[in-house]
Amino acid sequence: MAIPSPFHEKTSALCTSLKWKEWAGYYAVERYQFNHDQEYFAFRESAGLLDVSPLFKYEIRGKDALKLMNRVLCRDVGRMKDNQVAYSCWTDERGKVLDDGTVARFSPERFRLFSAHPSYYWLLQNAQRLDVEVQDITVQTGALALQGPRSRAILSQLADVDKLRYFHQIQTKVDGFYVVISRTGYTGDLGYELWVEAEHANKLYDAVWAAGKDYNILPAGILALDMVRVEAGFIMVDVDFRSCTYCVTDDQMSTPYEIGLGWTVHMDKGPFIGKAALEKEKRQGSAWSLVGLDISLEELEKLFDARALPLDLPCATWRGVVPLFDSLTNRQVGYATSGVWSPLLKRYIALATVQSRYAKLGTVMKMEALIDTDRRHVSARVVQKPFLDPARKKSVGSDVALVPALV
Amino acid sequence: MDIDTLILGSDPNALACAASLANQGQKVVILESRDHAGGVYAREGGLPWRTPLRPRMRRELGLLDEPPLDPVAFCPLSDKTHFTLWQDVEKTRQELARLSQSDAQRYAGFKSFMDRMIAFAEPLLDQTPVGPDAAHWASLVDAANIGLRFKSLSHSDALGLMRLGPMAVQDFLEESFEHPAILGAMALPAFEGRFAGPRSPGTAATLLYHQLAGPRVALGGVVEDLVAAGTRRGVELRFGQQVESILVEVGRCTGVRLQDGTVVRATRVVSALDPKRTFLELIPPLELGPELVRNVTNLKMRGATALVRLKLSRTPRFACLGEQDPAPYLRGRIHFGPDIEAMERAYDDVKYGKLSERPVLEGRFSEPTQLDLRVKFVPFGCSEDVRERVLSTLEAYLPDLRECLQEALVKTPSDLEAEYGLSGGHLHQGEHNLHQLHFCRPLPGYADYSSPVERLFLCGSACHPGGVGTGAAGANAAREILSTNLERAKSAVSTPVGAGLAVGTGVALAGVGALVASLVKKPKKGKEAKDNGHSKPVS
Repeated sequence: MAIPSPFHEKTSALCTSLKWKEWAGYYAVERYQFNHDQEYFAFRESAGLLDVSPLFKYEIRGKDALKLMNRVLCRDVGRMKDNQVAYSCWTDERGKVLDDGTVARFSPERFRLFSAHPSYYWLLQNAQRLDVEVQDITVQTGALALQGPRSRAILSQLADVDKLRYFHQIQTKVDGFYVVISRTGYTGDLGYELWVEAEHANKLYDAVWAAGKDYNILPAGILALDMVRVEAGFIMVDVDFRSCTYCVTDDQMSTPYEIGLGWTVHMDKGPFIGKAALEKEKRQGSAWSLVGLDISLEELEKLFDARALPLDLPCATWRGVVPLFDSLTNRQVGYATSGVWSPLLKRYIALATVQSRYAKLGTVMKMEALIDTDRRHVSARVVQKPFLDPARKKSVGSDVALVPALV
Repeated sequence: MDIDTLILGSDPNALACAASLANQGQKVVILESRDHAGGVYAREGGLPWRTPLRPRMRRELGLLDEPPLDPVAFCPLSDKTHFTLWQDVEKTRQELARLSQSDAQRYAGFKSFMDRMIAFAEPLLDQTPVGPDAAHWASLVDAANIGLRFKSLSHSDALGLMRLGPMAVQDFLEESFEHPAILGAMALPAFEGRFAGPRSPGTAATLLYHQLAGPRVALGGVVEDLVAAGTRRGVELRFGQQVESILVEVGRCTGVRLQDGTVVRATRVVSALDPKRTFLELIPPLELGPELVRNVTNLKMRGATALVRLKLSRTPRFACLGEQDPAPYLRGRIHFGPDIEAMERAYDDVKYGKLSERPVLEGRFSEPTQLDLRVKFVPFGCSEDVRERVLSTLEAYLPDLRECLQEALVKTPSDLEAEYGLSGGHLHQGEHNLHQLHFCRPLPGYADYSSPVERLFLCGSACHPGGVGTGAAGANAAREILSTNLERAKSAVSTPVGAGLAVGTGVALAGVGALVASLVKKPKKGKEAKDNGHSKPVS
């Protein structure tokens, strides 16, 4: 039985579609309106407001907080400055990914870790004999994501965010209560996440909502988020890869290198969990790679034509396993895990796991496509990720053009 | 000279390991925190007896055989009668007959069954355990040899052995005996190193396990003998060395740092300390994986035995013996009750954190005026008066005890931890539970005396085969540390299965050789014929 998030009073009043789903034990809005298109466009053209409270949140405090974070995370948090945020994954001793998430450094003795899966026990297990306290602050903390080109203009009415740089945070007060605002998000766009004590959650929602009124702010749900995150090339646990905790066989597990997170692994930082295994993999190369695919619309259209059907494209992200084949031998060489028609890019894009030798940019494979009742193959080309990368994502100051910049 | 092996601790396992390694020409240094060797096995430790050193080691180190304690158990009863279990079966039968004719008649059969089981299982003590994780082919040969020996047991013995494992010792013994006092005396060894009572599953296996090393012997001067054997071979003992941490560099052990800041480097370090001390206190926390830390944390090491030494002005009078001379009875172990029912109740108390209302007392007069006792069950952190509980229990058997008592030294599990660094106050560095024996001792995956840190080994009784002073773990560890692939192969081939495999392989190779030879020969013949054809004119 799911529970309401700290913003439930606000989100339930706005959710006219009554389309709810369960996310990590919370009620989460799938889409607020009859259709999720407008919410998608809010993310890309004005500002979408998303309740991300279901994320697991941990506060790590103590003299050895830095030690614990560096022991658990693949990334070197010693290099981070205070009030910097970083994306990382963490693995078990075999180097298999447990989860990914962001870590915020408040000071060398205070961190917050945000994850998709529960990680409390893992942190605790690794905190043994360290002078550190791990607190699960999931329930007592509300989280809002305000994402989109207008998000800065909206938030600057509440806090001084003009100079807040990408993957940094400020600790501030809004209407007298403590709020942490980080320049982070899951949309690959200009955007912020706001972290607030649950008791002030609704007040914060009201403040953001009021500030956004003149900027076409819209509440957005998971469906819209799932589209923009694929455009941004962001992988999702349980969709594009699996946490090894929940895997039954070794084949189902992934290493950071296999899911494109090799860049978050800092080998030069001293011991961390999984290091030995990852060093070995780095030397020997990875069996699998995660790539972005561009699926041929022409071929797809022809296949639909042949069945006298209009072209049918996924207007919401599909999640699943769609086989990929070598275009000559027809042997399976991988599988796509999420795909969507990008209304902005006008391309059918997907994220896929393929054997590493098929990961080179420009490689063309065949992807299975269901044409009405027939399983057919269409060409899918390996392309650069992210599919969409607007300059405003990392820009500082309020002078950046708000028009979506297409790649 | 550079140190090859640094050994932490100086109990019999540490000393055995040191002597064995030094025998192979290694430069060995032992670091002991106290000012004398032996730990709890030193004469002042208070252990009333121990298991004998392994014969293999006595031979290797040129030590004398140790006579077993006889009686096995002298059992004064609270109704002022008594009975005795002797090493001699017939003598014991006569004793038991005074309590139960049926028990007396079944004793020889029971003893013979146990002896057969011991004969089967005893060689395991000197072997490095083979578990499902064994990777070396020689280990598989070892496993096959165990299988072969198991196969040679009679049908009923094989079945008996397999049933015995999970049984509670009370259920097991009640299949042969009926008298509660006899059951109690027989069951006693099953609780050595266990946090369990007679009705706890798996205690029948511990009963057998504790008999594998042979009958108990006096504590004697085992430490002195081993120290002498070691020093003769060049082992250096350094006393008063407080180890602060084990040094690990890039996953490899390089030595230790002492509390005074001194760094002692060595090619390898062997810890005779228990795994909790070694892994959770001495190794820096970031060097071990969470899985291992969890496994070590989960190790059951609940000490529940206190050592009590009573210093007396004279040998006290035994109520059950009247005017009879007690001397012949006092040469071995003395079991001051209770019967099996009361033992379970004694365990019930400790299960809930209390000192047993009526503790299980077994002891030995190390000297005519010194009674050393093992007291069960005393919980870790016990705040009750152990001394008074022991004295009031003993008074029923030794009415004038208080008159001749001069001093009572009590070491509860908490004292044992504080004084000897035994985590949980556990004398065996880990309970002898089924899931902590053989290939699971000290931890699954590390039964070969290795550790997750390269060049760090364990050799204490935390390792297979555990026990009390057999030195087997130390000797086995020394063998594992030095063994090369060639030696492993040699020793594997000397076993029945290995020899069979070698002969089989030899025959197969010879066969293949013959085949190849015949194939090579044939074309040669053809060539000769061809040559002949050329050289000889065709007629």
